[in-house]
Amino acid sequence: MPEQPKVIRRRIRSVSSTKKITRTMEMVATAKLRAAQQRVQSSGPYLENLRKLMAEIGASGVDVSRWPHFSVRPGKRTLLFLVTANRGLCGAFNTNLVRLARDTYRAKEADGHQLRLFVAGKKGISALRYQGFELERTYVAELSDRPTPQDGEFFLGELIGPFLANEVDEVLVVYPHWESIGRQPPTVLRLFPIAPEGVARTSGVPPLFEPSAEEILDRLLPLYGRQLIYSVLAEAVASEQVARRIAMKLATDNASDMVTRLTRDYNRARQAVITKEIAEILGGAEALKE
Amino acid sequence: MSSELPEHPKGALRSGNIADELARGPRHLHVVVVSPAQPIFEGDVRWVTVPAWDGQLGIWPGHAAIVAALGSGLLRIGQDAGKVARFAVRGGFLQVGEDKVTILVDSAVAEADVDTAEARRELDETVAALRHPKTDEEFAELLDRRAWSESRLKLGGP
Repeated sequence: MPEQPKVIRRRIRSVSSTKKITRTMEMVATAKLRAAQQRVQSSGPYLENLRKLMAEIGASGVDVSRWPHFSVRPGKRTLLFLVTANRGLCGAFNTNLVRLARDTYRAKEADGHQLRLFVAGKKGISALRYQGFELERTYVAELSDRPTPQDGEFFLGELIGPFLANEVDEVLVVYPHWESIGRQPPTVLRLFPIAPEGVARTSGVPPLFEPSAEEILDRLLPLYGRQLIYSVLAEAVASEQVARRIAMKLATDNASDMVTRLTRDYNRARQAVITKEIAEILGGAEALKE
Repeated sequence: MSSELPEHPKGALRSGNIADELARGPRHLHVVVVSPAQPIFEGDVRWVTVPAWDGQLGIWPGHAAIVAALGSGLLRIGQDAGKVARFAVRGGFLQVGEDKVTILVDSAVAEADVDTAEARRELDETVAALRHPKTDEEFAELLDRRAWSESRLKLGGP
């Protein structure tokens, strides 16, 4: 017995309205993505140039071991910072990040490390809590949809504190690394200690440093950390919007398919009812004739 | 063009000197100015002056490689045909090498975007706070804020 046409019609209506919602969310994600992508692209050159400056200073023979930022310590205390989203409905975006964070945690743990977990984003927080991890610090409101360099500064303060206070020996960040609009693989980034970049100098003559290479490095390091975290945040927001747009596009397409199928079922059921009624009328007329 | 030059007292001008440069036309600097949130300026220009940490620093083509810390003040970029682009900038670094100039600034305001009323208000607040600074760090920070407000006011005109 096929379903009642009335029942099917109700389902068509409900699927259509879901489709409207997912369609809207797709468009919102697209709009937000544009701004977020802009942010990723415009934060890049500054970071790139800071890196170049740092390489220049490193190549000039400054003893970077004077700065704790570079110090590689033998200890096995690790701070793991996971960046996820505050909102869901973006496919496997959060799940993939949480999985990488968990795998990294387990691998480090098996290696004898002591770990501390800092997590940003409601989704990551609840997923890891559910899996029984103990989260030392969590950030929800601090994670903005439109990150600014000031947000970078805030998180830098949170992460650099334990490192400079010699409470941890390395700081790792798990976040979606923006490679292109089509690829944002979850990635583990080592924030501290900063790898002393042994980049070969391009020009032969070492530059003048004004006031001095040491002083410039002093000023540069906080900006470098801030910009690095700012770009992590910017990349996370942009990747989230990409994931959401794809998820919502899939949902919209599925809803369209479903409406097509249900409409066919509905017409079939309606036809069946009509046929049945005609048969009944004819049957009744036949019966009256006799 | 070189034929118009007077004869050099020590004989013909050697290669790689002024005569060749004049024949080639003016040399340019490739300047890139970026802030943490966005690129500010990029182009080939004649000269640049930047507010270095201890005073103005001018860069013409052929400048020696230098890396300098910047303070707050006016960044001026001399373009072709005597055009000068001006920005109020705050903090950052200057890197010069092989006629490429990279300027990293913390914040920058273009001439057209200056809010003089806001700068004035900030300046007044800073000056008031400067009377009773509590620590050396605060004092330094206030001085920097004052320079930043002043440079924006200067950029905004009278």
